[in-house]
Amino acid sequence: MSAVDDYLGELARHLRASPWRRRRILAEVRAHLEDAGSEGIDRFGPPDEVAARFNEVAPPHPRLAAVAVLVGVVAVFGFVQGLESHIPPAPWPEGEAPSRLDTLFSLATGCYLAAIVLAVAALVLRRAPVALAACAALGLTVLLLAVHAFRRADLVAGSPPAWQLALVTAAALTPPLVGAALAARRLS
Amino acid sequence: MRGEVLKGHLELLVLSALRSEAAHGYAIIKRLRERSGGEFDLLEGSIYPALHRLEDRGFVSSRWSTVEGRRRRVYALTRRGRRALAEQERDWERFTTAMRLVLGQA
Repeated sequence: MSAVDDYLGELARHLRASPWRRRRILAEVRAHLEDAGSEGIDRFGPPDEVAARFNEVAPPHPRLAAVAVLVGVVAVFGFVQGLESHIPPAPWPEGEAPSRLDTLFSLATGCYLAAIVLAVAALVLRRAPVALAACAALGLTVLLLAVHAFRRADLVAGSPPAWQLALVTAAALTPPLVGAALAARRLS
Repeated sequence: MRGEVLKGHLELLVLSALRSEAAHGYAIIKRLRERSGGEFDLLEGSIYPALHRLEDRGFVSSRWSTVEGRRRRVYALTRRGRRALAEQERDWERFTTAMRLVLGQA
């Protein structure tokens, strides 16, 4: 094994990065050390220090975040369908729900559609701010739907208990929160 | 001149080295050393994390390319990077002007 291989092995040991990123870093450093010749390793710096500098760079994962949001979009749809089949029918006539409930549901629908559009845009553009916006839109969707569900439960007898609604809300919030974490910093 | 003195200016130096044409990491280091008359003797391992950070911020783009028969990651300034370079150069001018005033060299 050459000195370059030894150095790269030591560097790899200290790197905290995704496999793809690790491969890229090692390939770049190898190319550099091969260019630099015999003094290259000394001039490059101790592998633990170099790895620490790479570890400070925290690239966002906008595409993974976008996928998390899209999973969340499907999950939210599933949760809403599931809830609707388990809640008692509303006592008010079709289309005559209390206006606050209608407004909440309309806002939630708008945020939901925005989350889908932003998630697709994040997939294409690979921009962390767009992915974060998608996460925010989906998170807001869940919160608005939760408020809607709690208010409706107050008005309709026989609705699921608050703890069940809170549990569903927490589960539905997981994908946008995971997505936000991915968009904001790297997975080690 | 190396280490801490250059660390704070690394971003500006790298962006500046890429102004005229795209380059890989080793070429950037050589360019900086030559242009500074050998004064800027960077710890070479610091350049690549700096390049990755600049790429994450959208200031440079990169792609694998074969240069002189070897596969290398080549970096180029983006439009956003050019704007950042212009802005950082203005900041640098203001800083050096202020330093000269303070030191009584103006």
